[in-house]
Amino acid sequence: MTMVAKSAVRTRSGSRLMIDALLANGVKTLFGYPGGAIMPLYDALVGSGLEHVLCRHEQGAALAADAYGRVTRKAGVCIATSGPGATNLVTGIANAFMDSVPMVIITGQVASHLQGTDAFQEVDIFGITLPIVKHSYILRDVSEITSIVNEAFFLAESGRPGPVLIDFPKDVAVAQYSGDVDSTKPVYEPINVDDEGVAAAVAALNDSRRPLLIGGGGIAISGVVEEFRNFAARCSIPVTTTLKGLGVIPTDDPAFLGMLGMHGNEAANHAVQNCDLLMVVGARFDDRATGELQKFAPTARIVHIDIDPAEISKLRSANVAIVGELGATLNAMVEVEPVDRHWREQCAAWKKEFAWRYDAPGDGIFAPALLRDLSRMTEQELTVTCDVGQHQMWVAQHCRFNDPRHHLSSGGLGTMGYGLPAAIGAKLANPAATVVCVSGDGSIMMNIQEMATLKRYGIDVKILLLNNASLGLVRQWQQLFFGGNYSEVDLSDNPDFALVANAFGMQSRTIAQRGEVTEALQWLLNTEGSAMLHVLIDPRENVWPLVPPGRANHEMMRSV
Amino acid sequence: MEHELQIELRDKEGAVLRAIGMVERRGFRMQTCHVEKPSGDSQQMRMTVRSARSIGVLQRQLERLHDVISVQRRTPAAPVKTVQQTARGTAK
Repeated sequence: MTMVAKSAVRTRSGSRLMIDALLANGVKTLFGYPGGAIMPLYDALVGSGLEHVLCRHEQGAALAADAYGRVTRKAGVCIATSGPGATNLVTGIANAFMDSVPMVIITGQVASHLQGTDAFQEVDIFGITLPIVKHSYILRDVSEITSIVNEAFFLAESGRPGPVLIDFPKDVAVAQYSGDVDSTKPVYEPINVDDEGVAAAVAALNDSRRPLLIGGGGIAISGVVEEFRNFAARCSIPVTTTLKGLGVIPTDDPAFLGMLGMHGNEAANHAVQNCDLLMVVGARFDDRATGELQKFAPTARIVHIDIDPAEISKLRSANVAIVGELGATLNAMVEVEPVDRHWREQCAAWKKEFAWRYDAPGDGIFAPALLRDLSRMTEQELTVTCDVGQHQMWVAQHCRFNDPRHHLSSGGLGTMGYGLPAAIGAKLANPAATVVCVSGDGSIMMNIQEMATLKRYGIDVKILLLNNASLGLVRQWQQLFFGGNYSEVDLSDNPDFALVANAFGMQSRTIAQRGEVTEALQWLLNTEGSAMLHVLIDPRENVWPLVPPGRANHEMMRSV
Repeated sequence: MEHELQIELRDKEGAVLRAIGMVERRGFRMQTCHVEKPSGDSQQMRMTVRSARSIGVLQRQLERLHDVISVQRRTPAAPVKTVQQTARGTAK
């Protein structure tokens, strides 16, 4: 901890102290929605210099803050009032928690004397969110505001990042304070490199004949993409990634075998199942990545590198475990020998054998080909946000990423409705980026009100809506694993999404034929301001390949 | 398997709930639990928990909570090679 300042200042309200603390922590933009108990803070917001983005639902505000945090690697900030405002944030908080995203959440709360009396719009958001925050506070005293906000940002952004909630009672927000302000800011002390662990990992790597490197979301979170790529190049090791790791190595890199897991590339899954050493960097053996855990990488020793000790041996025992800074640890692995040529050739052969195919029959639009084309149409790489479902997996499989922060996807929680607010957060975090929200007809309806946010602020986000008139991934599972008993997946009574977009002041087009794709994608990307390309696709299309439940990753289905 | 844990917590709002919640959500059944505040700014929890899951993993999950100062267990778990003890307290 470093003492920065402790000084007497003029009399300020709790809300003013909160605004000043946000500014002191580098906040420029925050996302929120006003209401009763948070009104004092909104009062102090006027003229503060903070840019407040009024989303049209608190969940949209939380998810926009999530994406803002992913892109900037600084805590995204969202605000809501007590009661329903706070509970509407919960999905966004959980989303950030599951994907280790830095976020600070400020919720209004009823005045202290009313707490515990079932007051109007009173809810115990502190208690409700205990399992889905890295830490949380209830502000009890106006004098604590500055130090608690400083600590909240420190915790949200340091080590393994995560959401930190501050519940802000109305009486504390309006209280006047003229005493000393403790502006101490905690300072992060990096973990020393584990030399013993590094030596053990290098020895294990050099002893192996069939090593494989898995890059996870921790690499982007830590900002160590370059260190990861340098390490991979030093030992010429084949590489696969998790969903959140996409982009840590360029999609077109010869060493990259594609994503592993349930809808991963078969080359990556065969490499995992046949390797004798798995070096896992910033990943946590999620079940969608491992398939049946007992059958995962059955012949491999595990080297696990992570900043969070609690992830070590949580699901798969590590033979060598290193808790530490990913970048410094990777940089310390210097004495590595090039990986055996025969193994690299085997991986290359799998990669060639299981390369994606785009020769689907018919004249209908084949979503994988469309997404491949989209991500290769612009010189500057697109930032793609996703919702959840078939389109999310097609993006992961077929879009090209050279930077993990160009692919924003709800990995852990799997939040339908993430894509559009995430696109808002991503665009505001990096206005120079071309941001495309790829969504489905189920997902878009989860937060469609955020089109109003696009219009209100003139935010240039392109929406590519893949409409199969159904909940496609659920329908696919009902087809494959529930005997074709289709239950509540038909969305053929969807509204005309192109007209909906028009109603929100957005240009739109609808296409249904393969021959229209190239020109329509160019239209979408070249249209000034936000726009929607509404793409009608075959409801029977499935995501392939697929690892069925209870199977090992190499036991992939390729068709019905 | 049954394990005994002794947890030292900062005396902060929600600290006890957070620790108990972590134990139960991570797949452990609590058999006994005793909390007291001997003096100063900390609280002491002693609990007996039961699960087939790794107590070592639970210990590290508890240790990463901001309000947890230390966790000691009576029943030994399999050691994890080269995990730096220095990570505690800085990598939370």
